[in-house]
Amino acid sequence: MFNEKTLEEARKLQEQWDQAVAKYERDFSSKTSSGIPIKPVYTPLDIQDIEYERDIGMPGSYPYMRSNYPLHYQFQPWINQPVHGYGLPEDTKERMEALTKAGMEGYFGGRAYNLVWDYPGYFGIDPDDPEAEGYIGKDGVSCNTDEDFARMLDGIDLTKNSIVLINGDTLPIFAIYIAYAESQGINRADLRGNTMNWVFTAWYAPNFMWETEDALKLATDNIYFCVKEIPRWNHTNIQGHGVSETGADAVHQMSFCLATAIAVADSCKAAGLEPDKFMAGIGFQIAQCNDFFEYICMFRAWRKLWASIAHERYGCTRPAAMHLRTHTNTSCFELAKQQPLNNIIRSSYHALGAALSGTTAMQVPAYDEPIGIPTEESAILTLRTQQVLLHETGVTRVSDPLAGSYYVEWLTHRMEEEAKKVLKEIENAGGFVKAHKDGMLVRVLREGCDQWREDIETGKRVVVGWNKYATEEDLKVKAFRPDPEVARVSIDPESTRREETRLKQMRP
Amino acid sequence: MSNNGKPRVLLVKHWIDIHDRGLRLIASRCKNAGFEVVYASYSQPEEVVKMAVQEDVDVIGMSFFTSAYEAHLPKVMQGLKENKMENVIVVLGGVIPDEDYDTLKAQGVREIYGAGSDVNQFIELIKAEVQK
Repeated sequence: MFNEKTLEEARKLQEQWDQAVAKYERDFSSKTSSGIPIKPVYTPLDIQDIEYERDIGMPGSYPYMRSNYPLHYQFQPWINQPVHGYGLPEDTKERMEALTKAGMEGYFGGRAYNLVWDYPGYFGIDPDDPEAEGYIGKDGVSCNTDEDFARMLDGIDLTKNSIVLINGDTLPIFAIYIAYAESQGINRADLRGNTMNWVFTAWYAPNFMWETEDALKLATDNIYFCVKEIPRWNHTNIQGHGVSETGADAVHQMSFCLATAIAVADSCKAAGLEPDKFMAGIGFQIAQCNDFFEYICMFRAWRKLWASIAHERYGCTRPAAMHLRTHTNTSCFELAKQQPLNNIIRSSYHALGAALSGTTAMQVPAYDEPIGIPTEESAILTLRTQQVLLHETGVTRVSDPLAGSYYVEWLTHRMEEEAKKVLKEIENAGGFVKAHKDGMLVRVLREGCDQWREDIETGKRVVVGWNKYATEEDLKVKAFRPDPEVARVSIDPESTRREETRLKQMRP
Repeated sequence: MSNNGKPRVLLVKHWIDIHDRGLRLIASRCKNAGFEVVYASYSQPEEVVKMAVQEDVDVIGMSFFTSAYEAHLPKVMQGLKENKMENVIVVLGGVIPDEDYDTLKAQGVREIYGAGSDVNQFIELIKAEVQK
């Protein structure tokens, strides 16, 4: 990328720099959170083998490292996708309205309602099943019938807004949703939204109920159905955030997700689906964590790798099928219970990193999530975090603004190489399904968790307010609690709840 | 305690509660401390008691991401009483609001380990109480 004159100058200046720092007689190198060694400074010499057109390119040009689109935030900013859902459908509707009133924006005048189900709903367990006891409406909405959907979504245009159904086993709730939409006279082919299709999350969280191969078959069936019946539906979410929360570093988050997506795509192709059609419905939910530049570089490398895989492995030529469609869910495991307001600062940096990475949608967790589910106030504050970033900082003026930085280009290239290495290891171990069944992937995640904790205990990793600058008394944040009446009313929809207890719980 | 003098620790989570990062860390630390660990999922609280009896454990650690302990804990405590296992140390971990601590302790919970707790305190508690 540089001519010989520039490289000659760079070598000369590097020598001068080496002499200038020699007097410190200390090693100032460090490591990223994935363990990649980092020098204190980068120069043209570090990226001399990188070619502009081949390795960097323009936003919107294959392999899309810089952005999926020629114009990005200038034309369409990232959309707000705050996760919400708790209590009864009408409680969640209130939260949806509060967020809408606070300015939550989706694509082109619509909104994306990122609705999370309670644990029973995650698996299609009815609220009156004894297994659901204690979990109804607690960490997500209890919405189990077409009538429940009506109480939550009445008045919302399901063909213009995006309805995101966050639950694990996907099919039970999705089927009820489609039945509800059709009962409203809507043609299912016109629906817009997203299912998680997380049956294969069993690959990371082993207490899910399906064997790996069976999970993959179920996921494939769902994709097959969507491609044929609801062509604009985003059927699959590859859950990088979940992998990250389970213990993956940046390299493993990216490579495990790519390997997951390859297994899903192979299965869809074997089922006779056309890659140019089904690939566009696969999205990636990406966690932006503390190591600021590493996660930005991960994101850039991820876009490039996915486009290359889509094109080279599956023969995709349609841009949408090669684009890394992303929803950033900024990190939760990096947040701390101690001095909880610090979490607002952490999440703001994560959100900035996501914006500089060129994400297409964003969810920022609330500062009080280590204590409970967000209050209305803290939920709106997460939206404000995005709005201040979008409207006040100018980060949207230029696409991929860090491109060309010696450090960022070097690290992006290195992330790409590291991810390829892991993908190769998985392939050599017999492919992703086998690598999961043998415990190879889960082992990496467990070791990641243990190491993270050990690093905090030894002080190698600083968490402000927890292992450094801790205070005797932390700010007490009262946990938000859904109305205790929720379980009773959810089990018996004919009953009504006592409003006074609800209001008391809502506004402690 | 088992015949070889190792404390026996039962660590459980409801199978639909998928947030297991904390409990797995505890399991690995207990193992490293030389305890015998039984790590299990349950679908109803009665199963926790059954496992505690079958495995003859000294300690039960239950992890919750939500306040499901309100429904599950009384059943576990009652079951332990019925099986004359009141001596078993019961601890809770997970996302548990501070204002619930007193109520839980009054129900017989020995300690509560929320986010950012010192894992070693749990290990030391077992060493002091079971290995004495």
